[in-house]
Amino acid sequence: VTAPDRRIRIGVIGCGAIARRAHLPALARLAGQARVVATADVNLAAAEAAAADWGADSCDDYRRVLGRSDVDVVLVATPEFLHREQVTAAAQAGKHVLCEKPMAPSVADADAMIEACATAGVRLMIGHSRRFTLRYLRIHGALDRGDIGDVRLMRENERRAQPPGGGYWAGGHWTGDPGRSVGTALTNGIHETDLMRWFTGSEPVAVAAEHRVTIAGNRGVPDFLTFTVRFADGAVGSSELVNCAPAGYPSFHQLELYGTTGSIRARDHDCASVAEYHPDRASFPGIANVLLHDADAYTREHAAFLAALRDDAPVPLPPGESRAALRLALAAVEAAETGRVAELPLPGEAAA
Amino acid sequence: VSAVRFELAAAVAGLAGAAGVAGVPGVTGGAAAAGDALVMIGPDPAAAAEAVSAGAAVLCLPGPDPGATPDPALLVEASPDSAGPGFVVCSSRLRHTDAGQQLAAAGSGRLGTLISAYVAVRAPRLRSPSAAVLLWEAMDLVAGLTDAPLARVHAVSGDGLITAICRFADEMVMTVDVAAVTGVTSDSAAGGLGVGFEAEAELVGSDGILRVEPGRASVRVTGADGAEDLPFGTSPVRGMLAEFLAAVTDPGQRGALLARQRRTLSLVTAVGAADPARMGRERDRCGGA
Repeated sequence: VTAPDRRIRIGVIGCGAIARRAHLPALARLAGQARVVATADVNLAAAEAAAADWGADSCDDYRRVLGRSDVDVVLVATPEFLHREQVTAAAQAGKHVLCEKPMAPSVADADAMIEACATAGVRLMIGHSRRFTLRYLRIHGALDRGDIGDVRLMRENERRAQPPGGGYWAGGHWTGDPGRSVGTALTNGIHETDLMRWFTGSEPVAVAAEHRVTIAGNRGVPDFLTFTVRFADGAVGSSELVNCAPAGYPSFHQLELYGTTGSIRARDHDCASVAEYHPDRASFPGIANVLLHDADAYTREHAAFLAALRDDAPVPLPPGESRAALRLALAAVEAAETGRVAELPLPGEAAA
Repeated sequence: VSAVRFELAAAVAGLAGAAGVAGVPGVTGGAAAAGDALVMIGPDPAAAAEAVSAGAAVLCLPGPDPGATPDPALLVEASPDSAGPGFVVCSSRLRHTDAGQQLAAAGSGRLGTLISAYVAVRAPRLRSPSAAVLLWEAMDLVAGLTDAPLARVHAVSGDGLITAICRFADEMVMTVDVAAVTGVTSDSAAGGLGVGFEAEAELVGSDGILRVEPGRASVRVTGADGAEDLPFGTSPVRGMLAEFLAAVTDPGQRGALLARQRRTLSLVTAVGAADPARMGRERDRCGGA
């Protein structure tokens, strides 16, 4: 007699780079808890490749995945301009949803996604992978313990080298298409806006920003952004995102947190990527992986989501948090476009 | 300050010896006369003003501080470009580090068209210069990277910190982020540039990036053909002093130095006009400087 397979059954919608490099390897690590039963991508070959390791079915229409009774959860790993349609459809089909960040290109889309899932009684979580990196979990733990007092300044800069041809900002890729992409504020900066709120524990009240198009072949989508944020408790956030570094330049994330009694730094290009400074000591609590496509982080993210489903518990990262990160990122875009400080809440919107 | 005083004493002795003149320790502002060149260490802007009135040239350390009376920045602004009455220049130690010199050189063409500049200065929480003084040093470092008019400036401040974003008419964007926030166990204060505070700088151009890494005694320039490390280690004080003395003796160099300082002053003033403390309560100001 064969024991029934009680693993959670997953349908994958979108089998591009982020699914291939991050989500599918993470799910492979969790094969004892979950299995991929169906995949979909407008590029059928990509869907077939993603399905192959699992012996899953594949197709080029995500609606066929949603129509299957043997799918419990869908992983939505498509560009953000498709999220509202696909997440809403998944909710209406009764599927729980883990959706890749950024949540959506607009707060209105995010609200529609949250409402659709709430109405359908299914779980929704947005995959802000950095919340699940060992680096930032440890830092947040240190902040929770009060190791550095109240955060007064957080800075995180990101650098990305551009591959030959300009990478996904050029060559016809949707990220460089102004009709489909908001730009680096959502591609990269959504991480920083999420982390700023998480680490300061406060809500933003104003943001100033400047952005530029810097990569040859980019059709007009800002790929450079610098922004600074004032939070309600007086903390300050700062971030500069550069995607045009020459090939060979080390891609990195550089975080500084300064509190009332100590500070924390974490940098990809250091060997010890977390260091804490106190009046009487400095400590180096561990080595953590470089952030980009950190396999452990994606594995934790999926495991936490699956555990919430299994235990009928709240998801570890409620969608309201992702909406708030999106709102701050879009405020930075508004500030950059208008050249004026964007104050929050934005005109005509509720604070949360 | 004591380290600067020591370095200055050595540099003054060396330069004075080379010039065949004697240094006179202990001369105060009030005792200065036309033609004297004074280096004033510490916050004594009133003495600096008195010396300038007497026709002396004054190198004022540290930099401008809006809390001081009079603010040395006002003396810079009032200083004449050509030979004649006295003038004031303010600290520019960061710019005179080897890293600062390499950054300026890279900005003049090696990196192609400049896209952005990032400068972060971190100083100890205790016994640090004010954030305004740190801002002067940081702005002085990058003020010469573009001659384009300032199009917009945004700033936000907090306890001991100022973050500013400047966009210029040529599209270049500078982010300057200064904070007196590090603790006594931080690895920042002693490392790298030898100026008593930590600086990180990154200059992004169309053809490459120059990066000054905190705590490291070299600049890395990365271009399409690979990376090059440019080590440094000489004291910035000697270069700063040499520039000051050249301005004393050469009206042309004086004009260039004062023009540069006015450019720095215009940026610092614009950041102040953005009034960081008001950000979030009313709209910032645009244009100007």
